[in-house]
Amino acid sequence: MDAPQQFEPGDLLDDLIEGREGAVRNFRAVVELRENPPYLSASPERLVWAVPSEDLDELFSTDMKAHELRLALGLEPLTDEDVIEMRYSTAIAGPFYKPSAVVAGISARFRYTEVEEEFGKTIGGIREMIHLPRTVAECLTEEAGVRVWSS
Amino acid sequence: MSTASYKEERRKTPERIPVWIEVVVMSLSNDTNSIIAELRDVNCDGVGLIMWNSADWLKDNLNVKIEFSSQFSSKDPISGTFREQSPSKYWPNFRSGGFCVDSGKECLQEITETCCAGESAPEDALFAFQRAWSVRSKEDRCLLKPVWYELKALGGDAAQIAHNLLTDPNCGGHRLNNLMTVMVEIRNQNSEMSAMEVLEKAFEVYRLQHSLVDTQKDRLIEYELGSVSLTSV
Repeated sequence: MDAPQQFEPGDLLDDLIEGREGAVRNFRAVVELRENPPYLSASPERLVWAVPSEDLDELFSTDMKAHELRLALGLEPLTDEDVIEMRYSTAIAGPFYKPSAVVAGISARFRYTEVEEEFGKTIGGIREMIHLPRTVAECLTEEAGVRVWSS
Repeated sequence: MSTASYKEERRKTPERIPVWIEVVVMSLSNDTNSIIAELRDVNCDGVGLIMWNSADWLKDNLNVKIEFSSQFSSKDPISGTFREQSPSKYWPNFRSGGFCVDSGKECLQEITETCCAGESAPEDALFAFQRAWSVRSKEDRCLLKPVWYELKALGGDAAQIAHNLLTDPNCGGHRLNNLMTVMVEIRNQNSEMSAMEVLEKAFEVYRLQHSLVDTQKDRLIEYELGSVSLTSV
């Protein structure tokens, strides 16, 4: 019997970032083996805050840096580390909801919007929305991808 | 009564009180037709309704019965005529409707009086906050009103957060109601806690106890155009 293929964590992530063939499948296979599956949010009890891909594509094309993206998204802590963006299908995410002040919790960076606006908006004016918890493995379909924003 | 006459009469009726009360709307001619809804506002003549789904059977001029849930579940059902199921202007994935009461005016009068009793909402509170405030008891209002004013007086982030909560037009009454329930519990457990500490703790508890379930009633986004993907960072 052949031994199962072994992967180094760093290689898995590198392959995913570089979009190599089979990378999503391999990464998902490894993630699915974990006893406590990782979620898109910090835990299974937290909502997921997401941004439409086209909005981030536009910002990426302007060579925005990781710390600038953090500021624009209202993410904390404000560090100088790279940001990893995970792209996944809307079909997986399920219904999307407009965030409100209660959902935002105790974040003064949260800016509520007028009711006529369909999406929420981050402090940096980027569209945002929320959806219910999803595991990373669920979202790693063939359309999924990862991108690194450098610091 | 024609729709035009109904609208004219509605303009003349006493102002409606914003409320947040869960109910079940049932057809009087067919027991199997029912839908969960919320009362949005109320006076002694009728109510405004919010529903999260369309119901083909719920037609204009249909005779319906409304049964109360949650803290008003002991009230007898009321019956009357359903009006105008239509997309709510700012909540396109919801349906709003009106209800003219035939039987049960006393019940609506009692609810209106209950919701008006006690401290009024903080002065800059808008509709969503008022909906949640209306269904708080007099004791809860006495406990919470100083908390909101203390937050506003602190200035800075505290005042901004309080302002957002009081005036956010996207906040559902259900979320604010649950948040205030948690705030009352925390304040009762520790009367020495500062307003900011109460709010911080309340958000933490609210997130665990209510946030995911409350999302089901939030305003949906019709994200169908443009990219097929969205991104989490």
